[in-house]
Amino acid sequence: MSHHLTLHNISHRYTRRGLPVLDDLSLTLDPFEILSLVGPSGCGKSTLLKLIAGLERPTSGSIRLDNEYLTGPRRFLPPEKRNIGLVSQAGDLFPHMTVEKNIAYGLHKWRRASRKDRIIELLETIELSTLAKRYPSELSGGEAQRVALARALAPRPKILLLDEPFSNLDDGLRNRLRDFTFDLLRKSKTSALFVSHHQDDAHVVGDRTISLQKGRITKQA
Amino acid sequence: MILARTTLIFFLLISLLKAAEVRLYSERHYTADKTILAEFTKKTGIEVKIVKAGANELLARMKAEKDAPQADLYLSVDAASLERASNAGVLQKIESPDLSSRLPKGFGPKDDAWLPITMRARVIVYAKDRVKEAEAPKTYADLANPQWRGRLLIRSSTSHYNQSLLASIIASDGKGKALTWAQGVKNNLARPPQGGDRDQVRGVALGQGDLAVTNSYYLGILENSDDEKDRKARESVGVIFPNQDGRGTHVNISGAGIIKGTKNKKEALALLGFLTSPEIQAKYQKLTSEFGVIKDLEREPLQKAWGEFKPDYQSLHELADHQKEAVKLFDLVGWP
Amino acid sequence: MIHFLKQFRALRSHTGLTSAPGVIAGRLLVLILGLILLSPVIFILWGAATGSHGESWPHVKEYLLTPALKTTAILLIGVALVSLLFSLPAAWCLSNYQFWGRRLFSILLILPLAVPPYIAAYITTEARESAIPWLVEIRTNHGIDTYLKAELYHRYAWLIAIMASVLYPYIFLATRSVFAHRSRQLGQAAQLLGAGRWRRFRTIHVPLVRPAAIAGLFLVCMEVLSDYGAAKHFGFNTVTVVIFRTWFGLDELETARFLSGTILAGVLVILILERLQRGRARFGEAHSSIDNLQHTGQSGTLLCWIVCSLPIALGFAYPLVTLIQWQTEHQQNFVLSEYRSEIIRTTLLTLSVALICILISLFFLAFARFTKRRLDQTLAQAISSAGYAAPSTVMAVGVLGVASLSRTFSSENESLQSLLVSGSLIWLLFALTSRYLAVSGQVISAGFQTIPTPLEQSARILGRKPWMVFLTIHLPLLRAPLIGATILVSVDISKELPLTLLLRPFDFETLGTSTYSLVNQGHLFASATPALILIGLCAIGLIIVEFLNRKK
Repeated sequence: MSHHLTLHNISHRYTRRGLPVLDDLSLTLDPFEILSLVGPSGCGKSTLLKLIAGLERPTSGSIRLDNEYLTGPRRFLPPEKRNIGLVSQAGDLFPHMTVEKNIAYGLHKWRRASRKDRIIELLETIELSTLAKRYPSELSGGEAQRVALARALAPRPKILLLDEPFSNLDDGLRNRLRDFTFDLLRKSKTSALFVSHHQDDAHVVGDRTISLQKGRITKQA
Repeated sequence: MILARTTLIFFLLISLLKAAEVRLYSERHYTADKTILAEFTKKTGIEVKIVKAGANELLARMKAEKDAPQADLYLSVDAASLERASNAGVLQKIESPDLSSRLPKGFGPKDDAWLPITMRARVIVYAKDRVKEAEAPKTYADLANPQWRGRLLIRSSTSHYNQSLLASIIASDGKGKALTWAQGVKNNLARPPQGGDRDQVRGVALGQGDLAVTNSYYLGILENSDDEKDRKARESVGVIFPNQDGRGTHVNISGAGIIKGTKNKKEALALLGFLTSPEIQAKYQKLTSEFGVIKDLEREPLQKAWGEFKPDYQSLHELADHQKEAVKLFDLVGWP
Repeated sequence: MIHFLKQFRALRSHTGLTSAPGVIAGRLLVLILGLILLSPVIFILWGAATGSHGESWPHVKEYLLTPALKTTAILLIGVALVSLLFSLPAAWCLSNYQFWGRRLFSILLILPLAVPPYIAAYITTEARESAIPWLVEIRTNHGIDTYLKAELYHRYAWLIAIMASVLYPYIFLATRSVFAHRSRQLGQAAQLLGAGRWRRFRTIHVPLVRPAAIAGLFLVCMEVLSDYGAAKHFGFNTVTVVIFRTWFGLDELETARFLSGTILAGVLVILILERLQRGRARFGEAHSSIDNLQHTGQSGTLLCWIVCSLPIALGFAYPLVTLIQWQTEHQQNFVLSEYRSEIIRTTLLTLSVALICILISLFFLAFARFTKRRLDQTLAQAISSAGYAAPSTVMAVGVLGVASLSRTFSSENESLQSLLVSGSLIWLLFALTSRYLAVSGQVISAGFQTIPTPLEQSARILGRKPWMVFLTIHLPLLRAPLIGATILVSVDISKELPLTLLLRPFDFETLGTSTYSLVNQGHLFASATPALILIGLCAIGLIIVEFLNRKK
């Protein structure tokens, strides 16, 4: 499944008279592409992801997925209808549900049989089949992030957003998990937008890298 | 040597300068008491130190201090409390023929354990616009009459006044009749007991009940009140002194006992004499609308308007004996 | 011998920062302190399980117990439901929406905590009287039985509403941070996984807020159980009122003790059940800050205002206005000096107990911190919780029992005897400390959690002994929580009534006991003066604590 994401003239500010967090930004994400977004903290990377996910509405600009406007002058599709996945820095696993139930959360519209199969498949992929009935508080950092990834991928999102998902982990683990993740993404042919403040992450992973500074694109590679 | 002598003289002088005093443990808390006690100090130079608390607390305190009493007089608002104190052995006999002679014959405790100071009657009030005087209850027993169902207001059974009332009924009519009475009264309640005596009268004025039981002096307080609502409430009710044809209206006595082992007995007696003097007794009647207890005392106009009444002195002596029983009876009939 | 040494060494390395003898000594001290603090609770439970039930127990059981339990249950359930209703929507609005006046509301919503339940009950007197004509009409038109029922429901409704309106802040405080942080964060994650509003509410928000709501509810229920003045004023015979009556009316301390023991056992069982039901899921702290909140339109703002104002209006504005009205219309002048001794006594009492509580909490928690063992943490928490689980009257009964026991044991030593006389301030301080240790424990424990462990590790490496580390590193960083704990303990104690009434030394009046006795003697309006002073002081304290928390 190939999807094409277009951002057109996105500007965003939090308060009416404040500085713009994003300033007239336009970019595209091509099908099957992994796009890296790098920049120092505070440059607006996380905000951009939130806008794409639909968790915030930009002050101006439009976001289009394939031929549909997610965010436009007259249109705003709420996040739950966008089928865009997000893996956040903190993982945000639901602490009151087991690993299994976490992964199953986005599959509530699926038939029970196919849901079960999908969960087993994902657990195998992230190599955590034995931990299916554990609670998030009983997992290590790396295990939790893998579960977060599986959960985001379960409903086969059109696009996956990754907001510094490996920053909380130590170096060796981070590299391993990073490689694992993007391997998985390429295998499943999912387009992704990957945000990080680690320069080397970007270069290793992304097909393309965009640098962001103070809300503007400074470099594309 | 000179230093020692000077210090000695110094301390002697101090002890002389130390004014005579009388220390009270009192349950009474009216503004009138403040005025009257101040007058006492002015007249005699004896300082009055007063500690106010409830009867239970004071009794527990006096019991704990038996070997080294910290007060001289115990003032209570209820004869039963005084009897309990006497039974606990914390009071000593008054032993003052002068004081005893001021009281009517047969009045007061049999064993001279305490001295009555003021008296209040437990009366029935009725709403003048809803109850005709002819049909208003004339005895406490009438209160249990089923015709009054849902129309009677009376305060909680935790009130000493009600406990004494029931105790007096046990004393004069026996436990069985008392139980029936309590049951009947409880069935007639217009609402579960809330508030104090004054709230019962106000409840009648507001229409929640047609009858209420209250202490006589509250009527005086309402009549003299600055609040118009209070005065209106007083106007709207009539007063009955129950059991005039029988044993008489139940009264509660506010009195004082001298604490055993006190070092200020002289001052205590002086205060007792002061409180039972004709002027002060008249003053109590005026300020608090309580009845004075001494012989040949003229009533206040306000009190005269209530009419003459016969108080029940007989059962006073047995109140303390039946108090615990009374509480149990209240529980039995479900009178909270 | 070698085995012992091996264990010793293992213990030493495991505990990391302290030496094994220190750990053992510390634990011993904790246990001793704990036993002393919990002696009233132990006394009651032991007495209830083994001792006599007192002469009057059959009488109490037959005539008083069942109605009392029923009344108490109705009050507990009613107040629980209504306080949830008052607190949850307001906490939700405040945490999820940005509307004009939001910051003001977040302070105001806490203020009803400054109003003690019994004062809240007193101020409704006149309002309830105004319903009498309507009730009388029911009596004339529908008969006495209907009237009595209506009268009962009317009273229940008022008492439940007014108690909920001053107790809901416990739930509000517990749940608002969950709503603001964790709940929002995870709600967004759920959104991205396709969950709509209702599904999010059902599967994310409700389960997440449940533990916090239950914790808040527990506090609310403890307050209802402990209340004496409010229920009595309304004419309800709750379990606490019955204990009082058995104790004083019947003079039967033993029966009172047995009754207390039963109640205490019940509360402890519920407490343990609550801990167990939390299960394996640990909910943890949120890590992110609040994102910008959604702005509300006009109708949204209005809705938020209604939701937030209702609890404040009933729980703070209404009492305050009524009391001020009483003060100005029925009193000559506001004679603050008349209550000077009460103010001084209240302040000294609360501050002393607060100080003792803080010292004990600091010791327990610092010790647990340094040994890093779950056992010590659990011990500290269990000791404070058990004390709090005893409603005020029950605690009083227990303390008096311990007092008389201690006197019989020390009957040889005269000076010790005089110190332990039941009227002395020591027992009141002891009872209040035992009961409210949990409050300081909670605040200081939260404070400890904000101090990252690397801090003390670096200090240790630089050569400082543990307790120096505590003094120079932890203590300064705990300044805000310490102030907060002092104020919260003080507020709780000044609002407390039964314990103070029962255990206070002779002639010792606090603002609370003065208010109570004035109302008891029929001087309803005169009670406005001490009540206003009390509420004023508590409100100031609460506002200070709120600002301290904001600064973080």
